[in-house]
Amino acid sequence: MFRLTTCVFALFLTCSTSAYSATINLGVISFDVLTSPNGADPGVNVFNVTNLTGDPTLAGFALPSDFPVFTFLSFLDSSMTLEDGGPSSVVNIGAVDPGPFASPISLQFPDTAVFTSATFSGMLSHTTLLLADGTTFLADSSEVVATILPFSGQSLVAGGDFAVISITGSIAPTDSVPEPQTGVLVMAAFGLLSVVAKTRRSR
Amino acid sequence: MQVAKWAAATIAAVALCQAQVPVMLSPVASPAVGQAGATSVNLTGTGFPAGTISPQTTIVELQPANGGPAVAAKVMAVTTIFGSTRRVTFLIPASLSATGPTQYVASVSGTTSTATTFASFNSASLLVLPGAIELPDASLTSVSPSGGLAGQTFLVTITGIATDFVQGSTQARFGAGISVGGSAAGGFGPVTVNSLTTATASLSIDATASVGVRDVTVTTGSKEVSLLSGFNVGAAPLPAISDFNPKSAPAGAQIVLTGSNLSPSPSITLAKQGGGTVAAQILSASATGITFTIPSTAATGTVAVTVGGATATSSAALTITPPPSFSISALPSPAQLIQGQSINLTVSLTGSNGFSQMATLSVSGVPSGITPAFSPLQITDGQSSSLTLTAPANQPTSSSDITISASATVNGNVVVHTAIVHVNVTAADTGNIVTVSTAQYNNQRTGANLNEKILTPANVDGIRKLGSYAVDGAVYAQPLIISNVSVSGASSVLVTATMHNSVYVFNAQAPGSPYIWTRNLGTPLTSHPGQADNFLYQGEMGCMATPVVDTAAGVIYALCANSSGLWKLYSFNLADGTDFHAPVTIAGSSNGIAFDPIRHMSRVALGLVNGVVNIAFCGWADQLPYQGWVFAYNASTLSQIGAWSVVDTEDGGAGIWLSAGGLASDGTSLFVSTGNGTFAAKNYGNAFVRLSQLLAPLDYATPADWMTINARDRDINAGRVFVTGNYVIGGGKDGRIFVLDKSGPSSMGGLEGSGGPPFHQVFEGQNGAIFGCTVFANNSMIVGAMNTTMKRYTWNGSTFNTSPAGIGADPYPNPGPACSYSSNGADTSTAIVWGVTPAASAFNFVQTGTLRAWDGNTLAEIYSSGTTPGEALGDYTKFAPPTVANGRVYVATHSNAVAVYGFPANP
Repeated sequence: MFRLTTCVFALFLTCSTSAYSATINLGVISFDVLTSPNGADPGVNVFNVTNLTGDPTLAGFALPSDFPVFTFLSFLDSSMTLEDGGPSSVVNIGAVDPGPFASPISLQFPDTAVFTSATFSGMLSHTTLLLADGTTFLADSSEVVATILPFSGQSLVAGGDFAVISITGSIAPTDSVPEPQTGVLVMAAFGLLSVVAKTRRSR
Repeated sequence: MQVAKWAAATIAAVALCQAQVPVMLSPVASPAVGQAGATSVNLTGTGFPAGTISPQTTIVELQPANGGPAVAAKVMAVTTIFGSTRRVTFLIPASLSATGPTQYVASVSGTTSTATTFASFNSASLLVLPGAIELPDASLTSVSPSGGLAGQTFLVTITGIATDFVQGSTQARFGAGISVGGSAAGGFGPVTVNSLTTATASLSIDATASVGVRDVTVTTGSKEVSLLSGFNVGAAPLPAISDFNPKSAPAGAQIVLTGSNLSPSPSITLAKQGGGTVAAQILSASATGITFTIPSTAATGTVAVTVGGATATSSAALTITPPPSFSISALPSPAQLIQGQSINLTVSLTGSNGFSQMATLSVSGVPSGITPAFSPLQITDGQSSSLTLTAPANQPTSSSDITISASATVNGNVVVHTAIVHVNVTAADTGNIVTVSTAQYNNQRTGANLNEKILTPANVDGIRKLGSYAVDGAVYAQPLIISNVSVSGASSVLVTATMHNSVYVFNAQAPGSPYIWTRNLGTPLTSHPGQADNFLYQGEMGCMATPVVDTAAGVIYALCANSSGLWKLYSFNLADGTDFHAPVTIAGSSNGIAFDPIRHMSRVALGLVNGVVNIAFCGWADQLPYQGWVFAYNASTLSQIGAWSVVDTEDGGAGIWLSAGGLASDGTSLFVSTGNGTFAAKNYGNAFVRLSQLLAPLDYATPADWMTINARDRDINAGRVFVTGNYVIGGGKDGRIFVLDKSGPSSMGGLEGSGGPPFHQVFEGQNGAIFGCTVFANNSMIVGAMNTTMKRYTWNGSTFNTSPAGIGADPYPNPGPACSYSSNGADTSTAIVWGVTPAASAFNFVQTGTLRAWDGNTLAEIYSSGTTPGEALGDYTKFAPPTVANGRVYVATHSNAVAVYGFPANP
């Protein structure tokens, strides 16, 4: 409980800190099993892209604090470059909006297909992003790239290998004076924590 | 405001901390749509508690969105993504497949290895579809059409599943012997992608492709799929020849061949001349017939048809017959077309191989102004047409080739054959205007006829030998032409004399005609002291010197030797050959010496100046004793009026021979050069001497090195002497040209270096001995010496430019050419240098002679009589220059004849 208190403090203090560099997560690409083998029929594996941005209270897909971007962000002109030891194969998939991307058949393969890596690339629809904590994140670049590499061995394992889509940038400072409502809520939280602590000590 | 909302949620989550850890799910499952019993689905959430979370302790429940009981799904995996974010993978239960597409909400809960419970406080949506998804492997399903024949080219459609064809990177391979999209047979080639699963390929099956099935393979780079035995190459039906017609035809003819399976893309091969085969051009082809053209190189043999790599050969041979053809000829060539006149050429056609077509005649290259006309215009085998060329009176002279063409259609092809005729357009013959009554054309001894209207460098290559006047001995005298006379009907006559002691007169307009009259003067001299070593002539000695004709009096003067060695001066009436005056025997004394006829010979042409005939003598091949002599005779009476011995001793030498030239005269004085001999008082060896009409020496000039000249036998008298203006010019064996000023009584110079005036000009004119080729005209002197090239020096009226303005190409052997010059007045573009040359040294041998012509300016050779039958000159006579007069060239020969050259149309 004490740690939770510390976190809240930290969150509070963050509101008044100056700009600093950060890396934030935007989504996940993964090599997954779509359909398992069934008798003589081979299974189907798929490369998935999940855009975990957008305010969840507004039906967005952000999962703060690991995926804290509340801005509804799209990955534009996206593509997946697949490596199988031969010539690279590039699959253009266009815009990837928030949420799970419906992988086209071009990203679905028999489970006998072997890949050594898969690289997702795209362009951010926005480079100024609102984060779950109310801060603003300024992306260093509009380009986003993420590569799935085998966790172990030489080739990707469906259902096991994935990569987080993340970008670097800076978090801009917020207003030094909290909003009145915020101050009330914080104070209420402190009061609640004090009651809990007092109750524990009394026990 | 967003922060406030998130803080509220956090507080709520803290409130639940004591029961179970709340997990926030991403509101849509991934994939969002799945098949019941088949699809693995991921639920991503955050807030999962720390620790191990196994699938076995994790529960996913699917509840229809519109209500109903929840169904648990089998959790396949729980994967930590980042921080507290994990992904729960589950399989959509097969039990949901009975229903139609149904929207479900999924929630997750479970327990960690440390007994911490968690549960999602929200859910993720998932649309479940009935049935199972079967995503097939990329594969090819069909190729249409699925086969072809060798030699064919066509399109096929390739169809596949999940192939993801991409234009540009997708290629196909159809196996051995099949080219795809123009690529090498057997390899991958480009296709046209119609969709992700269809593409069109252009196939070309090699004519020699083996029969059988082949795998079809398509690659998109990342994928490569094959349709085993997907394409079949079938055996093309074998071509067969039934017949062809005609069986015998010439090249160029069309053959119709019939048979079966003669398409597609057949080829025809025939036997080739010299071996091998040659392809025939196919005009049309179908499965049952081919029409082709016999190529020009085809030979008799079978006909082979090849279709799709299979060849059928005819059982019968196609016999190649020579095509009908023809040739034409046109005569005469060269043709002489005179201004204002017409000439007819005969054009004849000779057919072969059954030629029977009519050939149409035409002519090209005719100089502007000349009108051509054929009669008839068309001829066939064995027929002739007359081509009349008509030149207007003002037609410019020219020399050119015209091309006469005959065109006929043979086997559908136009065949043209030509004949070329060289046409010389020459000035109208205005009559026999030129008379050459003395050697070297005139008393100045310039060697030039400046009144030649017909012969020019442009047309001289068209002259031919017109004939020869037969005489009884070798002719050493230069032919003389006397025009504007009437002698037995001839208006122009040739006067000549022979070493057999005969004088002749011929009709100069009738080359080769018999003489009009002749006079034989008795047996010539055949033996004398110097004859064994004589190098001036070969054989007998008779009338060697060129006669001279008094055209006004119509009298010919000739000097001849009889068998006793006596020299007699004859005079004949030109009209009939009768004696004008009784001959006189040459005798006399001078300088204290009496003339001894047997020790002397006359090689010098006779001269006639102011009614005085002059003659001169030298020794017999330098056999002493001898002296140089000049005699003068009254032309009317033949009485001697002067005699001059060059020296005053019997062995003084200083003979006069001048390479058969005559003494030059300016109309008042005589000019002569002398040979090796004594130079002293009253002795004029190796000197240029001016004589009076009565032969008194008036002036002289002698080179300072006269003794060296004597010692080396380089007598200046070997060359000729001519007069122009105030100057006397001559040269001799040492190649020097001497120019002497004759304007004053003692201007010639005397002994060079002795105090008198020097030679006016001396220069090395030749590096060879000068004999019979020194001509002067149009301010140029042309000198042709022995064994060196001919040269032209320009004259400014008093001196020569010693840098040659023209140099001939070839040297000529001993004694070099004997020359003449012709031009139409001062028009040097018409100038020609004429000469006779021996085939080899004629020092003391008889050699074959050649008449030559050189451009009068450049000295480039422009005509040579050659040695062909009918054109050859005959044997060469030393020092006798050709005589050019009235478009004809008269040449003395050692073959007992005077040859005549000219244009055949201008006899």
